[in-house]
Amino acid sequence: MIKMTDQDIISRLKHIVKPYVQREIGMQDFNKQTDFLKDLEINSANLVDVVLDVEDEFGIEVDNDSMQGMLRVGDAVNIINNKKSIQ
Amino acid sequence: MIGNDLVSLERLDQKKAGNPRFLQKIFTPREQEIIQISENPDLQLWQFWSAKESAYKAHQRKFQLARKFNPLDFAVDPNNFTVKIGDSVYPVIVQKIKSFIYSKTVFTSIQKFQTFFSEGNKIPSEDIIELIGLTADFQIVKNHLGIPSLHQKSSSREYPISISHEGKFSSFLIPLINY
Repeated sequence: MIKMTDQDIISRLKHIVKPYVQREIGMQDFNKQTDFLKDLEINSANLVDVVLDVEDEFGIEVDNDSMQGMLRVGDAVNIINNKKSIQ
Repeated sequence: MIGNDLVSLERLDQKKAGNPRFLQKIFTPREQEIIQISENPDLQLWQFWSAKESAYKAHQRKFQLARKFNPLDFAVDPNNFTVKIGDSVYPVIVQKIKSFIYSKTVFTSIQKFQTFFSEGNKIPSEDIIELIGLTADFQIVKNHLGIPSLHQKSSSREYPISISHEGKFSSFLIPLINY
């Protein structure tokens, strides 16, 4: 399997979160430091939707421990890389 | 300790009660069971969610915790309207107000509390202060964990405030003290 670069993952994540973003300006500089709640103002009630969409998009399962720390784009990238490496 | 949370009834249209993957990420097996046998599963679901959120905010403030997305750790006991996490138990009041589910956790019996609601995007801090009936002597500050407080400039005292946003609607829960 071709290894995804972090940049690939980030651009796919950007597409996933788009429908839930309430602060559009936060999308202009979308990087590992981007905070889902603070920078993009995604409602916490929609963070679960993001997690489920990540599972579908990358074919992984985000367990509860991983989900707890999924607050920034970089956290999601790490989770995806870790899950992919053990598949 | 205080926490509050606002959920629009429009969220019921998402029919999340029929999505087992969504349920399993947020709700304990017992909560899921109660949701499923409820007369209105989607209403029950968002009431539970809102209760968990308001308890989360009170818990984070009480122990000054870093942010964490762990709704499954907050277990709702529908018999006595409490939310339990670890050794902490938070009494929660869940109400239907207009087109919202509103819940609050008020962790003391001595003080009186009041909730204020507002509509509008990006309300400036000064307008919030005015809305909740305070003077310009107060401002809303957030600590390094993002927990908000009311800061009184003249006395350098701080009072808790809990803020919740849902779309362009917001709720503010504050204790009524003699400032």
